[in-house]
Amino acid sequence: MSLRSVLLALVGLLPAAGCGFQPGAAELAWGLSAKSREELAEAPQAQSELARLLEQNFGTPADPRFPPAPQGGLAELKPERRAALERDNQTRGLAADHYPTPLESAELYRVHCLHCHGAAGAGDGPTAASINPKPRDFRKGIFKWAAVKDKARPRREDLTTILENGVYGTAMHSFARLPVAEIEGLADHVRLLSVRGEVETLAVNHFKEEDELDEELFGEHIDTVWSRWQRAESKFIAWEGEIPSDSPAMRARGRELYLDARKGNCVQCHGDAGKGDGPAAWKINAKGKKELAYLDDWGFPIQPRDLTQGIYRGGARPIDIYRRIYAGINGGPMPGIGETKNSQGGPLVSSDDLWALVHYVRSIPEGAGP
Amino acid sequence: MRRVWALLFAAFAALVVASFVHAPERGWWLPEGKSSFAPSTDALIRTILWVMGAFFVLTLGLLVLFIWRQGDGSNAARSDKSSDHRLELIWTVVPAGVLVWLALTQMDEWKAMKFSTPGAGEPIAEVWASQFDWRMRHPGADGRLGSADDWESPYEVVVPAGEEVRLRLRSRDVIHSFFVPAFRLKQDIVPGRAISVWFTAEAGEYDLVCAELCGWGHYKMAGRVRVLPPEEYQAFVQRQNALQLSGAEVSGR
Ligand code: HEC
Ligand code: HEC
Ligand SMILES: [Cu+2]
Repeated sequence: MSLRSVLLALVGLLPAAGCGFQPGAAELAWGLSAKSREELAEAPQAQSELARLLEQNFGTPADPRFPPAPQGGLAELKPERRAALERDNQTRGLAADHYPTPLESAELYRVHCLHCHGAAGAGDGPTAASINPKPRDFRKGIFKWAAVKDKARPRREDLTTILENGVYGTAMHSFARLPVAEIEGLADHVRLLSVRGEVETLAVNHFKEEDELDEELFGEHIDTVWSRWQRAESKFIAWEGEIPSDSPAMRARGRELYLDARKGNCVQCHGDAGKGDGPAAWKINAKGKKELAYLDDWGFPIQPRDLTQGIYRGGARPIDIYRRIYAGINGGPMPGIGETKNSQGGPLVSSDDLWALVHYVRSIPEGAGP
Repeated sequence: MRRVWALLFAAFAALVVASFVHAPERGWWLPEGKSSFAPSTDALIRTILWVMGAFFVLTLGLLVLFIWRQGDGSNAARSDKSSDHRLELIWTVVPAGVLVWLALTQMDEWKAMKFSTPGAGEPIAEVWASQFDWRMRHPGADGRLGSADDWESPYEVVVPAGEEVRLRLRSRDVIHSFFVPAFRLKQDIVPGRAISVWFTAEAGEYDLVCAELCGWGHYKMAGRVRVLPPEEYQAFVQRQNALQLSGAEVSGR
């Protein structure tokens, strides 16, 4: 063969070879987290017992299991969502109650999410290295953009809303083009990974304190973690009726609270103009360099949001911002003030004050536009 | 060996022509046109295709013929002529004429798309492109963009059917391109600029894709244009305006 024909053949083969990500077995497996392995380095038996118990209860990516809801979440859907699912299924020519099996959900996750969130949901997929903020590590059970207070676990709707809306301004884009049934299945799978991760951590910590690990105890760990998830609904921050409307007076009041060190005190983090450059946001490190003062719960430096951009990760509706201010942002330094008490034991800020803050915050980017 | 090449070229030409012939029934063609631009744009595309197709078959046919005639590898059939002015004139002037003719025929189309954007005032929505997401901003109850009652919708822009619809395209990072194949509408989105597009469309749901390589996730930068009959559209907008000012949960489904 001549050189020319060899080259020609090579060029022809290029598309066949592809340049896709070919995950190895290790990247697709769940196994134990690096942290568990490290914590249990001295107890190899406990390591293998934990791995066995995890697999016995949660299965493997090829045979995923979720003890609290073995069939998936179909039975948990609220009536409106159930109706939306049935409508959507029918427009696709599927049975009205079509719903992915746990294995199909795991497969959807592998296709759409694994490359960022990693097989076990540790936020360590191959794409994670090149994006900021990092994909969420689900294994702590901490979610930022849920409509719940007290750092509760997210409700089912919170997860599906995140999937449909995306987390704007981050690499987490909207998955609204997926069918409703697939979104629900993906939410099941995120929950599975999250609960599995929490149980793993609980088992490791318990073993380190009490030196115990067996089937019965593991079952109790699952119950403990699952009960956290079941509390979510009772932690929902609801708002019935009209929202106090936006007005110059409201905004002025909001501005006052934003600056007031004893009330909102947003200024210490978000800065006077809302640029995310408040005095508490930055510090001077040992080398005399300016660096971010806060870390989030995963250990990454975190900057208070630049509110002049008008880009809100947890949703841009007034109610979304209300919930952020009410409950704070889980997993980071931003505190909630919705239920904070003043020195007399009364509420620190009234609900009108909270709405004043909402309207002020949402007015910051007005007219500016990027 | 020469003859093998001739046959190979002939097969190639046949394959290309056959793939065009079968494209519509196999779904390889553009989706059915659903905007006011579609009929004239399709006519233009077809005209260009026919012209190019004719030249393609002609040139490849001649190539095959010449290679075939040289099949024995001898020099017997070669002529000593080094140039032919008349021939060169023909193959220069004819294609040039065709090009000028094409450039002139597409002018109306271009004018309609780019220079006849209707109306002043606020567009129906602002379409924000970013890596790798579409996010739409609607003016809200006050009809003004950039005010606090604007509402956002991820992924999908909703517009009325049968009316002139204007959208303002904006980018948050790099160059993207707004492409709705069913509307035959494609427009680059340049950071720092506000570029308008317009169309009149039939009711339905249409894919919106990014047509400018914008980064690693370009392939999944998909969105949707939902075109509703005018009454439904009005009801939808009113519902959204109200939802924006309430605590109720929303899902676009
Ligand atoms: C391109 C990378 C990428 C892909 C693909 C991706 N995510 Fe994410 N995801 C992220 C990033 C980044 C965040 C963190 C956003 C933040 O910090 O607020 C995130 C956050 C999340 C959150 C947590 C939101 C919260 O409230 O804390 C969930 C749940 C989630 N993703 C689920 C998924 C699912 C399910 C899929 C697949 C359908 C998926 N993601 C695909 C990057 C990605
Ligand atoms: C201790 C520092 C701190 C204080 C005090 C604080 N914030 Fe924040 N805020 C943050 C950080 C950090 C983030 C980014 C969170 C993230 O991305 O995980 C944030 C994000 C936000 C966001 C964006 C939410 C979104 O969806 O993207 C809003 C709005 C906000 N803060 C408003 C306020 C208001 C109003 C107050 C005062 C009542 C306040 N913050 C007080 C640190 C703070
Ligand atoms: Cu793009």
